[in-house]
Amino acid sequence: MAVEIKLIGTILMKLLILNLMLLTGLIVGCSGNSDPSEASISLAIKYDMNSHELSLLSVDEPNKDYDMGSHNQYYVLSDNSVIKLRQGDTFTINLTSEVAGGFHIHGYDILNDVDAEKSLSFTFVADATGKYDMVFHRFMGEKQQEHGDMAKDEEHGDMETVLGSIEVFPN
Amino acid sequence: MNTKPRALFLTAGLVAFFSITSTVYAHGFGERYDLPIPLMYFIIGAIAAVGVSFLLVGVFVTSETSAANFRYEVKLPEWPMGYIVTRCVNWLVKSFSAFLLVLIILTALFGSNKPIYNFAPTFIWIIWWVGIGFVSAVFGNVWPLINPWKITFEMAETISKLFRRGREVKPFLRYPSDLHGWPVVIMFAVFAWIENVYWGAAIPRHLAALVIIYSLVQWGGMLCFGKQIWLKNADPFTLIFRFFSKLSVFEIDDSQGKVFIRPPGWGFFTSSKPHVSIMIFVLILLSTVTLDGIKETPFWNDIYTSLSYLSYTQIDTLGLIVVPTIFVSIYFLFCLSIRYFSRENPNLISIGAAFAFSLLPIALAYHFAHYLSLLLIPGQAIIPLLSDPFGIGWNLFGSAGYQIKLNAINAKAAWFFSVSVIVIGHVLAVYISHVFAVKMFKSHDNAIRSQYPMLLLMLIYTAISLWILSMPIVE
Repeated sequence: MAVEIKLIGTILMKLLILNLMLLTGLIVGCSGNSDPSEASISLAIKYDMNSHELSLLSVDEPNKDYDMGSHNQYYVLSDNSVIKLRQGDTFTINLTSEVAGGFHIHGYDILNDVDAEKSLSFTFVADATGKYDMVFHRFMGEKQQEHGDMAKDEEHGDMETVLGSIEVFPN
Repeated sequence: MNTKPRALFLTAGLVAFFSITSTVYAHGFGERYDLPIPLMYFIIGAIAAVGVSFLLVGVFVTSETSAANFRYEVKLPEWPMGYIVTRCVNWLVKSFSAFLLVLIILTALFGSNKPIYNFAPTFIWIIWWVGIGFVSAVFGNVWPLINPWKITFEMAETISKLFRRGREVKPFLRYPSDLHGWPVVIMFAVFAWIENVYWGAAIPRHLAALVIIYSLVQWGGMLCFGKQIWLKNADPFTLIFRFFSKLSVFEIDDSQGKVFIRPPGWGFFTSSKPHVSIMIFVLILLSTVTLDGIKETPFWNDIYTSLSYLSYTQIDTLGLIVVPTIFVSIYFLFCLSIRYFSRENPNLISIGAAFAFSLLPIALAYHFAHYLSLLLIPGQAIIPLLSDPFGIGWNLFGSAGYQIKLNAINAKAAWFFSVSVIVIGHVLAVYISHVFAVKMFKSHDNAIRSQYPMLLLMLIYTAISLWILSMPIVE
């Protein structure tokens, strides 16, 4: 019995050491110096008349490379739009849209209406980490057939499209 | 491709099913915002798992180990009125549990039919299914104490005893002993299908039907075959939450009202060899827990795309058949090699049953890693729902306007928790399996050798868990 307890003791000690090593490794490996920064991006929602599909494009610098080491560069992919931010960043989105609707960032619960061919600007602090979908609820005069990624939201009688997402990484 | 398959199915299915209720709102219920673990965490986790395995093998080779049953009873000092207070607490807990069951059925039947505005979906899928697992792993096997089906059945028993002048209600059928735990396997397979595939699983009206059917089956089973034997052989949750509780430092013996403390994870060492039905149950549990994660990865999305002539439901159902089949086959393949390496010749099924529990810690660890943020972030939805369980504008406790706090857990903390928990689960698995091997094989050397294939299997399983966590979530 005594031997066994001793043995378990040594195992637990070794586990503890290993976990401390793991912790140190993670902290060393993942800590980058980063002060919160301010940035902005200009986005445009395009509407394809033929396919009825909506897409999100970066206006000023499309497909700009994102560098994890710095904070002022954002990457917008054309097929699966992802904007990467650091936690604490103050971020401004300047948005124009070819069609009228509500621009919604899930989780953060930011909901802004935009008129067709008008622009809209809003700022928020990315204080929570995670991956948040950017969704567009297109306002419809009358209900249309469901299409592609869209799901019907009967409360508003409009269509919802996932345009992309915002990924907020920890510091 | 950010498709929302559930949303599509909800809309399509509801038109067919529930033409009276008009509104559906799929997005939002249990929506997850997790970031995948970065490569660095994946690599460190994998290296730690391999390193610890070799270290443990070294320890096993040089020493004789066996599982002694050391646990200590926690005794509360006797205090006046203690008995009455215990009875009162017991009565309060039981009535609250029964009340919750009634509340769930009522809200699911008559409340808003939108999952996010109804108490039932968040309570059942996040607070109960995920939450009780966490609670059991920390505080021990609490489920038999709060199981509302057992409690309501006992209440009915007490009432009928009053009317029958004290005569006990005897089960009128004998549980066929050949049946073993097979009913629990079937019931869990159905539950896994509902959880992972069924599009209506979060829709209140459908949940109401499911809860009512489950209640009738449980009450009927307990009435026919007797409470204990039915719960043991045919209630998947009694079994699953007991598995979770094996990780806990507390061992609750509800039949004697005693509480013991033991080293964490010790519950596994003292488990006796289960029947083959329970082995299959464990393998289905492992594979569905893993499948649940795989289904949210881009990999599964590619499967949807490449099998586009099948519906999502058909693909998911296929997945639920194929993945467990693969798991069982691989497991038996490894059991064969265990037999080969041990140089002894026990029955293959017997090897399978003996080592069935040793993979559980990895699956449970994955469950924690996968669901912690779900419990902490979307789980907060229960706070406003408590004030407005039917989703009709009540504000009973003043919390109806509560906003979910997204930073309840930081991504870095979640990553660290996930990787640590998976590595710890792996260590436990390796250790438990070794203890089982020593019990099973005649010589110590044979037992050590038998563990080489097992170690490989566990490393593969741990790597799969880490791989899933490193994939972005696509819903």
